[in-house]
Amino acid sequence: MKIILLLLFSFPVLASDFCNDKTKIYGEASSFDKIDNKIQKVTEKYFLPSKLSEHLGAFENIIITSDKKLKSILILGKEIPLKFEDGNYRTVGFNLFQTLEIQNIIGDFFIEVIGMEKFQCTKKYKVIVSE
Amino acid sequence: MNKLFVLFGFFVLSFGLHAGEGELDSKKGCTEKNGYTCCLESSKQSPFFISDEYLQGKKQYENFRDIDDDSISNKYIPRGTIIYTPPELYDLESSTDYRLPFKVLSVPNEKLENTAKKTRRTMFTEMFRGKKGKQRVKKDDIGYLDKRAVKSIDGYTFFVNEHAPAYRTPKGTLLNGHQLRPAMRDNDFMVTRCCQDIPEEGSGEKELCRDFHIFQVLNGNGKVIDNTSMYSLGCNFYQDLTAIPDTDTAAIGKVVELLKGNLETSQTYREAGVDSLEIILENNIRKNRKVINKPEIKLVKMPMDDVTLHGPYNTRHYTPDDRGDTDAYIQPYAGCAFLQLAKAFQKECVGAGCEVQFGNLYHKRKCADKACQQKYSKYPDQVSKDVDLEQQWRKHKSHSGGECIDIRPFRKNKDDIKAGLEWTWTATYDRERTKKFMELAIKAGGTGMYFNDPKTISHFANRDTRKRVLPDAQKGAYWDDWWRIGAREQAGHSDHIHVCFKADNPRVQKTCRDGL
Repeated sequence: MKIILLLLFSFPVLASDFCNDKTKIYGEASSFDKIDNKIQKVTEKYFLPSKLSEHLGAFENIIITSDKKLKSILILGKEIPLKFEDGNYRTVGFNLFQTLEIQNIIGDFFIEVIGMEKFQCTKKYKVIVSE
Repeated sequence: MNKLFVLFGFFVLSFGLHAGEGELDSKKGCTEKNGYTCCLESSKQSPFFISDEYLQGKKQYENFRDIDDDSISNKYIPRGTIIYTPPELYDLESSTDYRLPFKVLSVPNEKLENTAKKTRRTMFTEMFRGKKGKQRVKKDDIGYLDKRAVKSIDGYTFFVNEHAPAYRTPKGTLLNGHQLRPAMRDNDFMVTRCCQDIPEEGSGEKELCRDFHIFQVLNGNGKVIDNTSMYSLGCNFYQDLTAIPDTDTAAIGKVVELLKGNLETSQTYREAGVDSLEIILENNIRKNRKVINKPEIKLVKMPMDDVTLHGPYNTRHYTPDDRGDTDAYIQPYAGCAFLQLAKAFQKECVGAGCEVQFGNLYHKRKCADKACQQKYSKYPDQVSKDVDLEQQWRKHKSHSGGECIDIRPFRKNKDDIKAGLEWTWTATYDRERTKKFMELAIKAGGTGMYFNDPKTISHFANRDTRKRVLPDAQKGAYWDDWWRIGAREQAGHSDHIHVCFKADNPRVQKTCRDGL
C-alpha cells in the first residue's frame, strides 16, 4: 500500500491530463487605437476560447497562468519555450492565428503545457471555419 | 497619325466663347458672335481618352513607352488614367503603327499599388507583375501607348474632386463634388462646332473649325443640373477628375455622398471624396482580341483607416488577412448598402458596444480537389486565402463574390476590435442590439443571412415579424423570398452574422439610393 501511494506522489500528473482551473491558457491580441491623439498599439490577453475562429480574434502569443513551474508548450508538433514575466508564462514572437492558418488547420488541435518538474497537461481546441 | 485624333485641336483658335453652355437643344441651332458661327453638331471623336490595357491579362496597367525611343518601356500607366494627344504631338510617329503619342492629364490614386505591395495574394500581385523598375506616370508625362489600350470616354462619368480649387460652369454652377458626363446623341458626342472663314492668299476662303464637347453636370442623385464644356475650365481641371465607369456611377456617387456625410459625426474616420476610394477595375473580356464587355468596377475597398481599421459610420474591420486588408473588398452596390445600413444603425444604437465590426467580405473556401492542391502546393500559406479568390472574386457581379459580409454580434457595453464573441457569451452579448441590426440588414435588402442564436432565428421566422420588417414586400426575386431573408442556423455562425447584399436586388439598390 505504501509503495502504491509513493508511486502516486512521484507521478502526480500523467501526460494525458487535461489542464484544470489552476492552469489557464490565454491568447494575446492587439489593435492600433488612437489614444491621446496618437496611434498606439494596444495588446490585451483573452481567455483562449475552446472554439477558435477568425471572428473571435487573431491571437498571437500564448500566455499561461499556473501554480506550476512551466517550461514550454507543444503545439502542432512544435515546442515553443515559455518565458516567465509578470507572474505569467508567455511565448515570445509566436503567432497562434498565423500558425493555424499556414498549416491550414480545421477542426481539433491540442496545446500541451510542459512543466519543469514532470508536469504536463493538455487542452483541446477546435478551429471553426464557416462557409 | 491616326485620323481619329486629327480633328481634336486641329484648328487652335483663341476662342473666347463658352461653347456648350446653357440648355441643350436637340435641334441643330446656330449662333453667331465675334465672327464665329457656332452650331450644335455631333462628333465621333472623343475629346480625351481613358487608358486601359491591351492583352495584359489581369494587369491593372499598360506600358508607357519613351517618347524619343518607343522600344524603351520605362514607365507604366495605371488603368483609368486620363490622357489626350495635344497638337504638338500630332507629327510624332512611333516605330509601329499601333502606338500613338499621348500626354497624361490625370492619374488615379496609388492605393491599389500600395495594397499589392503589402500582400502575397496572387490576385493582387499579378495586377502589377512586371512593373518593377518602371516609374508610374505623372501628370504632363508624354509617351507612346498602344492605341488598342485606349478607350473613348463614352461609358465613363467624371467625378470632380470635392477638395480641388473651386470650378464653376459659365452659369456659376459649382462643379466640385459633382459629376460630368459627355452629352451623347445616337452614340455620338454632342459638340458645339465653332467655325470662322479665314481668307486665303490668292483666292477664296478657308473655314477653320473647332469642336467643343458638351458635358452634362450631374448632382449626387444623377440629375442633370447644368451643361458645360471643359474648355473654359483650364488644363489643370483634368487632374481633379476621376473616371468612373457609367455602370457604377450611381453606387459610387452614393458612397462618395455617404463619406461626405460621415465627416459630420465621425472622429475616427476622416477621409472623403472619390479619390479616397481604392478601386479595382473589371478585367477586359476579349473575343478575337476585341473587348466585348463594358467598362466596369470589379471591387472597391471598404473605406477604412490603414492603421486603426476604423471606417465610416462607426464601422471597423477585424482580423485583416494581411497588411493590405485584402479581405475588405466589396462590390459597389453591396458596399453602398452596407454603409447605409451602418448609418441607420448608428442612429438606433448609441454608445459603447454599437461598433459595426466587419470581417471577411467574401466566402472562404478550401482547396478541395487534388488539382487545386497541386496548383497551390508551392504556396501552402496561401491556399486557404487564394482559392476562394480564384473561385469567387474572378466571377462576374451576378455571382456571389464580393457581395457578402461577416459582422460580429453586438455587445452590451464595450467596443473591442481585438476579440470577438459568441451569442452564448451572455455577459457580453447584446441580443436586442444584434436583433435590431439584423432587422435593418433585412430592410436594407440583406439576404442569405446566417446567425445561430436560436432566439433571433425564431424571431425572424415569425410571420408577423416579417410583415412588420418588410411591410412592402413584393413578389419576385429577393423581395418575398422569406427563406432567403431569415436568420438561419449554419455551422460556424455562432460568432458572426453572415449577410449578402446582391447588386441585382432592387431592395439593395433602393437602400443605396435612398438610405434606410
